[in-house]
Amino acid sequence: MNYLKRLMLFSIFLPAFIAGGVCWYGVQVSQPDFWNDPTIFYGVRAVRWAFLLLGVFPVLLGVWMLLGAAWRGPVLAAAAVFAVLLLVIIIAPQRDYILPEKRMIHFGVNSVMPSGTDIYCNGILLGQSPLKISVGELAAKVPVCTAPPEQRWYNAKQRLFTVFPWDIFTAERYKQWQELASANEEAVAEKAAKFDTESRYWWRFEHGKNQFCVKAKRQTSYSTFENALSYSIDMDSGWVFSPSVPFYARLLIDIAGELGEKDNAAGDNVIGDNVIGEKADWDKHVLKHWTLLGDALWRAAAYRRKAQRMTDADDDFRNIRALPGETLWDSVARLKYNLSEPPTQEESRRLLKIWVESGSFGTASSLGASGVLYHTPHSEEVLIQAAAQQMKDVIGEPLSEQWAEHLNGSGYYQWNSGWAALLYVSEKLSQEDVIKGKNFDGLVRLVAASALGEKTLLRSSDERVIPLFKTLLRSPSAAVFLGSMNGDPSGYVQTIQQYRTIDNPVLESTYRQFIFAALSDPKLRDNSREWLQKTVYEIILERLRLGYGMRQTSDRKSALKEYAAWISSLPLTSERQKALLQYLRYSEQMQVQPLTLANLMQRAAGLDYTMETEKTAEYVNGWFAEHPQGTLTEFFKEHEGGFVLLPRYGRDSRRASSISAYQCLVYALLKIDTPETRKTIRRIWENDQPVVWTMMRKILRLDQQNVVEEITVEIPDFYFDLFSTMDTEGCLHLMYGFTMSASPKAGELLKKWTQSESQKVRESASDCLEQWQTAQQVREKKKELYHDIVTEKIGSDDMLLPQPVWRWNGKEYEASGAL
Amino acid sequence: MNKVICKLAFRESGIFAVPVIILLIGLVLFQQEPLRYANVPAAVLGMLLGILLAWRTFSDYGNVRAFLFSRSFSPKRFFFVRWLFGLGTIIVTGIVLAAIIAFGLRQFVQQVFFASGWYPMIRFEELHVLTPYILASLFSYHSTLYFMLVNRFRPPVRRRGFFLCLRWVETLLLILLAAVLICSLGFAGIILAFSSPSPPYFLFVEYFLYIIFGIPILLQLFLAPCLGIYCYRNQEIES
Repeated sequence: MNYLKRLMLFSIFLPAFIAGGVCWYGVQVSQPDFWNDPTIFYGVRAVRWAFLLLGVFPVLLGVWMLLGAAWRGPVLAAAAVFAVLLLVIIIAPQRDYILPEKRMIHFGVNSVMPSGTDIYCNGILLGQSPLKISVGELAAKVPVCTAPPEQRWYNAKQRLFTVFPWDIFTAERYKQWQELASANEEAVAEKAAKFDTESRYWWRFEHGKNQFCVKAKRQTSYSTFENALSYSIDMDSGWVFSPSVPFYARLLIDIAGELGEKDNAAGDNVIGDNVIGEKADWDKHVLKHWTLLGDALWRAAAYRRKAQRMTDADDDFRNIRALPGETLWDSVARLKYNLSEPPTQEESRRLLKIWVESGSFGTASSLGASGVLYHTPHSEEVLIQAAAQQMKDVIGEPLSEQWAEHLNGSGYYQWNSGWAALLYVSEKLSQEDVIKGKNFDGLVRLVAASALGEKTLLRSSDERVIPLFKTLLRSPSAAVFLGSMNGDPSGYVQTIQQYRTIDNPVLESTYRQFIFAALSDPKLRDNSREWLQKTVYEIILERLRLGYGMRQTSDRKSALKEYAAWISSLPLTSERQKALLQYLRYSEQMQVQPLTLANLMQRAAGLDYTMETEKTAEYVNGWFAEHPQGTLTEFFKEHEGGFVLLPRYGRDSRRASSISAYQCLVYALLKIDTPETRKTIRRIWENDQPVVWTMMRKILRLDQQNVVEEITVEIPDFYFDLFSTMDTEGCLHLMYGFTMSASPKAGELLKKWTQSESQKVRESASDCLEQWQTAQQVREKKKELYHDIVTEKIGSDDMLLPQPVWRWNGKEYEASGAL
Repeated sequence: MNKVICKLAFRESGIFAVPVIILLIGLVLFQQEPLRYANVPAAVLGMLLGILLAWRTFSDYGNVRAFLFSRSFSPKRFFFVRWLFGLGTIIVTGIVLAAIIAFGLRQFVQQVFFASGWYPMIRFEELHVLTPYILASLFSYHSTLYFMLVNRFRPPVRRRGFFLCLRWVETLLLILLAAVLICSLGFAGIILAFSSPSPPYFLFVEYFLYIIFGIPILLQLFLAPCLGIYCYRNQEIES
């Protein structure tokens, strides 16, 4: 009898005995990193504890039960163990579960410190990043430093070191640091220097020829629950030990803009006779010294790009337009990765494979709004992105709907992640494998079972998708709809947002009917209705912008008419309705492209801004051609509340009449430099000068910053003709900015103003003319220097000026040698 | 005689089991969301059905016990028929639910009353809802049966009143602990599966459930009748 009882009891508890082990095994097999987790409890790795508690212990309980224990015994034992665990984990959080010598120090690979960086501690090479070393191993390998070492670069005020003091991975020093950090700011500044110099371990990081300069950051954590210390080391650009590197980089960026232009629409600002060489030479030189210069180059490019006339609405430094029609890095990327122009399918796939397999990029979930690359330094990111941009037309496969969704992001404009989606076209996502190859019925079954592939299903053209979609629209949880019964529109908002990216002509009318019904729901309270209206307005605007609901129609005009009729029927405020109708009118001119990777990449890179800006300019040109005496003010009045130019400035109808809309429109005209837009600008200039020249001044960045940073400003000669008609006050505001213009017309205009009747203007113009002439000379010198560098008359090492060495004198660091 | 035993069992358990079966049928007919293998109401109702069947069928109180054991049929048959009655009820209910789904009654109701757009594509896919029902009902039936049998053999409480209450409290607490233990470990895999986007655990969680609960159920199908027959034989001897 007893054995029967025991067996039966054993079978009842069998799920408990084996479930833990099966789960643990499943997780371990599918997530191999789990095995590498070094968390330690009482000297035993957490993974082993999990194995014991979830795998071995339940099985032992089962065996115990089989051998004769009454069921109370094993159950009580299990309960006791878990209760103790609970007490230990929850109630005693301060205990240190990690043996001090077992604590791991992990130098990862990140956007600043690339893979393969040499890591030195107290002068001893520990290895290359990524690197993991325990405190015990470090202590065994590296002798303690008794005095602060020599620094190749040091800034006391900013606590910048090239050999960085860091030893707070020991409890004792960490405690001291905590006491220091808890003091007030002044006391911290005073004691920090002393604390740093008492460090027993000094770290140095070098990559290629470059030594990183490390800036101490205040935040750190010495958690008792973490297996490793997490310490944020704020790395500076890495080239600080030679401050001439930024100058070197700036020189190269400035010259890049003068190497000859392509696709210049204006036709009258081509620079030169090309004496300083071809872009190909520039590319070769830059790539050869990329390790030294890469980071500084992209920073310099980012900075200078802001000063250029053709700045995009999106300050994306990656798309510097040194040469109109081509980004700065395109040719460098082609050279580096051996790509054709445009790249072939094979080249693209080869590259994608290399990037993905190198583990350079985060997982899908990590590519959120920021599109951060976790393992690539900025300089590499620039070239990879440039190459990816060129590949986008090649890898033109239709995206999985999940990735189309991802590109649009959880918000409305998540452009940064778009280019990375390119990589995932080639990467096999498990969800992709599951959805792939399924017909409509199969997809429906998949969605019913798992909710996976819903978006793919809703893009089907099978007529059966309509009743299914209607069912899905009704199917949010009862709680949500119960809410809506009480006047809470959350359910509507959630559903409308969830399906806003469905672009299927078969389902469009159903979706619109749902929106109409939601807005017309009499149960909604006033403030809830306002919220719903606002959300719906923004969603419709986004859909209009992306062309959803009109993309796949053959009769575009009818589709737009229908859309307009629907918008007019919606119970929205008149302001919002007008804005939407205006945008619809504006989008009549837009060429909506199919939802493929290519054009989504374009959107993601901001290149569609170019397209929209062209259309904007065309539209505005057309209006001003019809209204020769028109002013900007009249233009906006006619388009009251409704002129949506660029997404950044048009989403909120109230903004349309604000200064940002003016700016936006003038920017569009300035950017698209065609004879028609010049006519428009001249008209606006003559009729509405005060508005325009303020905007132009801002957009052309004719301000002091350019002078301070020695940034050459490109101003087409056309504008100098307009500027020459300005009155006294206008001159004074602009002439300072001319000093950084390379155009001879700037000098001519400044010379002209030195003859002005106004004394103020004469004096200012004289000073500015002198500065302009100096700037021209500097520019010529830079060209000569560049020529010498690229022809290797001057080596790159010669560009790096020697720096003083900082030595510890027992009390503080002092510089010795040339400054 | 078998009929009489079944009738008796039905009389004891019907009043509790029938509403649960009706609820199950109602769930299968009227739930608007597609029926999936991870259907908690089906699992809960199945568990409830199993517990009620075992409890009501096998809890023979004083006078009933005396009547039953005065009959001339063997205790083996007595237990076996009642056990099969419970098992049969669970299986027949499962067959009824499967028929409702497979023969299109659910589809008809959903399309006519709720204008559901899921059909007919998922008609047979929804048979997966039987997984939680069958596993939960069979497992809970046998587990409860075990405790009903074992309870017979515990020594009578010497002092009634407080100590009897104490025993019940102790039993309940321990059952609760056991349930928590089983559930937390048993469903950990499901939680992991649902929270992990990759790999797609959902594709094989159902099989995981079959392993975790199916093996015990198979064991119980063999052990329960053996234990029950043994208990009933000894019950007679003791009584």
